[in-house]
Amino acid sequence: MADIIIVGGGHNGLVAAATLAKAGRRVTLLERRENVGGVCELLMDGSTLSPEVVKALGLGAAEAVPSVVAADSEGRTLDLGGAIDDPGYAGWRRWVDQVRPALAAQLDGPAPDIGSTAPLMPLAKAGLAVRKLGKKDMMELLRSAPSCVNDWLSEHLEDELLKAALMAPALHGTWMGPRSPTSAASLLLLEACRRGVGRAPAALATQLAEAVRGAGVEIETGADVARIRVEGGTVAGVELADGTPIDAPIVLSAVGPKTTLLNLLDPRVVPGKTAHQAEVIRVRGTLARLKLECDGAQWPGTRLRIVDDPLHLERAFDDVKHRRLPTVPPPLEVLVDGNIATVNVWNAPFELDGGWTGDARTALTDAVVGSLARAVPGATDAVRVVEVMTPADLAQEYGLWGGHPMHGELALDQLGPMRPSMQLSRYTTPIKGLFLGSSGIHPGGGISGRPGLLAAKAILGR
Amino acid sequence: MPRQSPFHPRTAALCSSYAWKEWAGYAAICNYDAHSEREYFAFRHTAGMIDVSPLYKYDVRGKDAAAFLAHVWTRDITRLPPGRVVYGTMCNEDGYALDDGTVANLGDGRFRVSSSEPWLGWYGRHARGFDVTIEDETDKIAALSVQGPRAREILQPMVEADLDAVRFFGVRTAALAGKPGWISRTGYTGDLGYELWMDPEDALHVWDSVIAAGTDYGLQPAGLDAMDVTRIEAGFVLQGIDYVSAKNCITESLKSTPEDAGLGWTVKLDREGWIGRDALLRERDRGGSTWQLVGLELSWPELEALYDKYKLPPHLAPAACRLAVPVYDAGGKQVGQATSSTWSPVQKRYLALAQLHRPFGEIGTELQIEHTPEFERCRITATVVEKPFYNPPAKTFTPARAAKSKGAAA
Amino acid sequence: MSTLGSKSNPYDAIVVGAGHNGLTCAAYLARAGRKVLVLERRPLVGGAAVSESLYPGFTYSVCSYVVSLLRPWIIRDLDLVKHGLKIVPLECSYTPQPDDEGLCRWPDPDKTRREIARLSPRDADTYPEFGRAVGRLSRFVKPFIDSPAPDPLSLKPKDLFQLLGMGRAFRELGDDLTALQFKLTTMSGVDFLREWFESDQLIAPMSCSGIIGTFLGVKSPGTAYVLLHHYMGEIDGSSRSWGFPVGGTGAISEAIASSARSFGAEIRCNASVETITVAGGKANGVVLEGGDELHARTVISGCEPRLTFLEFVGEDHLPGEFTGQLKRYKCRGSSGKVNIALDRWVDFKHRPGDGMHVRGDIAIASSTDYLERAYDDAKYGDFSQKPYINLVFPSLLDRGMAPPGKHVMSCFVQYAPYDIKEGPSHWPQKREAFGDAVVNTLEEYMPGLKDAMLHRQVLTPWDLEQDFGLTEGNIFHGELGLEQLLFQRPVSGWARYKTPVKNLWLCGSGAHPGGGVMGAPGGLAAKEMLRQGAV
Repeated sequence: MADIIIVGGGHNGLVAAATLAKAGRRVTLLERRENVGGVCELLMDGSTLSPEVVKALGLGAAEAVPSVVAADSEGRTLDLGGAIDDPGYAGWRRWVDQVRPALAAQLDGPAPDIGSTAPLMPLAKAGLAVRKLGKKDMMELLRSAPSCVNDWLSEHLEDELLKAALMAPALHGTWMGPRSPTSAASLLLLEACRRGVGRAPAALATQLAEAVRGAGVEIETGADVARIRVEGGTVAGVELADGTPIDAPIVLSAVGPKTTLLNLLDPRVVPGKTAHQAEVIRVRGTLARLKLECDGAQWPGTRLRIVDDPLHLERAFDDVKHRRLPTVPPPLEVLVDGNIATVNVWNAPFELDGGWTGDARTALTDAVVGSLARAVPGATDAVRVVEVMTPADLAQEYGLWGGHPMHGELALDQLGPMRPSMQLSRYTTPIKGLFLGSSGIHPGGGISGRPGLLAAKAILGR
Repeated sequence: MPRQSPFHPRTAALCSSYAWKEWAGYAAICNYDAHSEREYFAFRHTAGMIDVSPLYKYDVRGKDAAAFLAHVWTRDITRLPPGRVVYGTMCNEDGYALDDGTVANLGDGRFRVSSSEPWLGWYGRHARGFDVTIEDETDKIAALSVQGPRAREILQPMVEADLDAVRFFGVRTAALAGKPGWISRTGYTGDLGYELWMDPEDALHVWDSVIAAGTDYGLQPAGLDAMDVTRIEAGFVLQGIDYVSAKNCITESLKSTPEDAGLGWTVKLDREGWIGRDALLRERDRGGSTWQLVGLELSWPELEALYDKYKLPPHLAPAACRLAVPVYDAGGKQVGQATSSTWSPVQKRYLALAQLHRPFGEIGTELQIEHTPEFERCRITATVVEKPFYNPPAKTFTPARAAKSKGAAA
Repeated sequence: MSTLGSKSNPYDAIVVGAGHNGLTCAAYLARAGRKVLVLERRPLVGGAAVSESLYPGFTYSVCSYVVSLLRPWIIRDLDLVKHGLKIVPLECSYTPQPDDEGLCRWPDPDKTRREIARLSPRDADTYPEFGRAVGRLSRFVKPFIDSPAPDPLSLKPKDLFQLLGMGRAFRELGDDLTALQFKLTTMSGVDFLREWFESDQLIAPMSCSGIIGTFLGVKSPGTAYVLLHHYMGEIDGSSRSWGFPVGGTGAISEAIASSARSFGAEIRCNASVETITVAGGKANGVVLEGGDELHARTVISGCEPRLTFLEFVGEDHLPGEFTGQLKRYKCRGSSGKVNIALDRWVDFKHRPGDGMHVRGDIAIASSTDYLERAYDDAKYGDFSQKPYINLVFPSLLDRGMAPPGKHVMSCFVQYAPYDIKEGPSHWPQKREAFGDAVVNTLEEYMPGLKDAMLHRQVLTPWDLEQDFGLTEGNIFHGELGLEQLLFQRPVSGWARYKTPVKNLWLCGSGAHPGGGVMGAPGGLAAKEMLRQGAV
């Protein structure tokens, strides 16, 4: 019998599995799909992977990934890894680098307990870490973080394409536009997470799987967990969709907290308050994924961000807000491999009015192809659609509630000790033996592996 | 402005006192005459009839209806057979009492829940995973309570059910004066009594029929004031007075566990899977509730002596008193408060329900209670006594069962 | 002896601007025995809290039209009731729908419950629960608006104690309320309400309070916390937090002015301040339009901070960093006002009559999408074609506001962005089109409105700036965004009414705790100055 069952073989599940196995626990990892890695194959930014995860799992050195090139519809391109000539950029970057350690410190460990019965010391320590910044930086941080990212960047920068290119990835998964208050905090957090150039997410999934196997974890793919079994208030194991029971005294769920608490557990064992907390987690997905074969396109780079300016992002967010198909050419994130372009659209609402019908899918595809053609010379000719995955398809394929790849919108009230709720942000649940370790838990985000690592540590530290 | 109950045309015509108050959004009569004495004695000697339509009522159906109710109420509704009613408590997750009320199994998988507060939102939040539909039928069901030792005789001719066979806390589908409805042997006076449940359309017809059937027996329409005296005599707590629903408490200290509220007997901690159990188990492990709800009897001779000092006869409020009054131990330290008190006209005793710190609630403990004759704060002795204060055999006596056991004995 | 205000015999304090905060500040200082002069550019006191008769027989509350949270301690300290203040509560909140009778929230909780139950029985049950939860939080928030802003960076014992006290109060909330507080301060109004309610028709009007005076939509994060204000009336000792002053909003200003005068303050109208004079880094008086110089030991500005510093004081006298912060102070106006004189009562299509349902505030906010679309127009530099309108009929609350049988309609309109795409100075050309958009929207709910109109006054953000000195037409002297509240209002480090210019203080809505007819900035500034012996 395994000591620990891990539900879900996404990057966080893999990190947790390897960490626990390295500490001598017998770990079984169950993945519904045929391969592990989860949304790693969807996301395009591997630079947020936590260095601690790299160390803990003994991952190999990162291979350099090309920098992102931003391209607008007028043919202008901007290499974000190259020299940037906006006069305010250096100052802005310097300031961000200055506050980065203080912010990163908040992400490295478990969220402080802000509950009424919590000890005060960790809270005071968290406060002190920020106070170390010095009065001026702290004031600046307190002023800029709650503001909207467009105002914040506009205080420093002039180049509209640069602003849009910097803010676009920070808005992914937030259900916000550049003019939404608190969106500046998202950019600050993203910058705090970034370490070096990072890895290609797809390669990372392979590396993680190797590390997990190397640590002696038993990986079962095609194992669809139907429910987590609870007996007398304590976890007893899981049951697969085909009825097979697997016993273990500890289950770590690396799938989203909503799925875990609302779908995988008998409602009677979940306290109403906990269930309510899970119900109100906002997970409005906005991601769609396309694969296009474009012969003859003259790509300005292999990692592209197609966007005009912040206004463009705001209008694209309006489409999300009003649950409609794109009314502006959607901003795109593109990975180019030969003549195949993998495209992420972050402005396709899961909750589309009328649903993701065949017509809606066609309209989205046309909009994406149109947007690509505006910015990439030659992309109009002979575009062949290889694959289209609407938010509804992604939800189905990857088991994402609301089609949200981070299992919870990145918003101030769903971050830190509030991710996903005050009661659940420290990896434990009211059910003995059940732990949460997906990106729906602090510190959340894209591909960092920290929730998995911290959840594993929470189990080991019991 | 409060709504009018389906019985309003009849009750309003009789209400010579114009004494109304708001009850759950409805206009309800306090007393028909200037004084509620006649109505009180009807409850105790013949029968009183009171419009209880404002009670919140919910219709709960579906495959998991019983399981759902067993989850939100302290009682195991899955073991409640058709034709039976059970009285219980509802708790929140912290183990604090939200409300008390009854759940009736009407048969065919249909349950009727009545309570003092609206709970549709709460039910909705806790119904996830249960195959159940919950409908607010407060406005769709009119209810009339006929209570008193002669209630059975009065109702039998107009109800198509053998009332001799309806046990205490039984419920039947029955034609009421020819109209479809239900009759349950339940009430809030601690004596023999029935509650009639019907379509609001039929309310006036049923009212008239009960009046016609009961007048010769001395049946009286009664108001809330008279019922308040009887429920204290019967030792029944009233949500909002003797304890406050945790939903309505502004401070933590106001909240009561079932034990604190005298409802501990409705709680079986060994049963699993109901809301509040975990918290109450933890409380038990910590040593249990530090409060209890008890009956007090105030010393009448001391009261008389007190008033005598002012050359006055003892002044008795014409109705039960709902203002909390401090209770002290022999040393003068406050140990709790009397939440409801009343003069019991039939027993000639001055009674109170009180929430007290343990162990001051032990039967026989002599305490001091505040009394304020002529604006001066004084204290008189109050002794912890058994509840209910008034408990006639007719409350639970069922003629058909008695005859059967007699026959069996013969 | 030379006249008061001369160089040798200066006033103790000159207050620039006779808005309700300036007057409140002056009244407190005069009450403490100081010689105070209040200078007002317009011919009447009140600033944005004025009543004016622009059409014979009708009185408009020109700008601000309802009062919420006027601090009870100010009413008591300044004896405002003696000076004529009477506030009647708004009875009801009505949200009409174009195609049905809409939703009324009544003072009677059970009646409200039944109204909401038509939309959602669950929401009907949850509504009072929500009120209690948020009401409990307002107890926690109240100290913040009744005392100077806490300073999280100060190490002075007094400040640390204040912080500690707040921290303790926070922990005493309990986990559920702590989480709620956290959510309230960061979430959007709509998202926050959706955690409780399912009916969009209920959520829409409830969420509106969070956008008033901001350039944000009901789905923008940070708009939830204003919900608290609606539940604060209760802890102020009244059952309803919104009220209407008899005589219009100007009556509040007049009562405060009368109180100030009774304590010996001098108030001069038609006295437009051009410059706050600074010598040797210290403010010492003002120069009026026309050149008159007046001297004072202290100058206090009730005007918006950017106007105060960049216009009246001048950058030369300010530290560069302060100027930089001030220039980033967000003051985007987003609303306009339309006042209408009616020849007769006009029914709402689906709820006729002038009964209780219209004796409160009426929100044209049929859905959250409607509100969000109104915001979208503004985001791209237009006024909303279908705006959010908050409507009050002052003549139903105070019959003296219009001749018998006739009515006054006060329409607060959002969104009307100051910075329209043609540029703010083009507002005068768009003024009537904006007025038409408002009236056309209302006509859908109140057929016959246009026929019954005798007169209308349209105030655009441009007008609010030009006529009332509200920079960019922002009604709160600066947006009430998270980054511009508490210790950051108006700029961090200068949130306690003091400024980098010695002897120059702030007392307007641009200071903590911010806008609305609360009087708190004025009262707190005066108290702080007296405590520090600055006047």
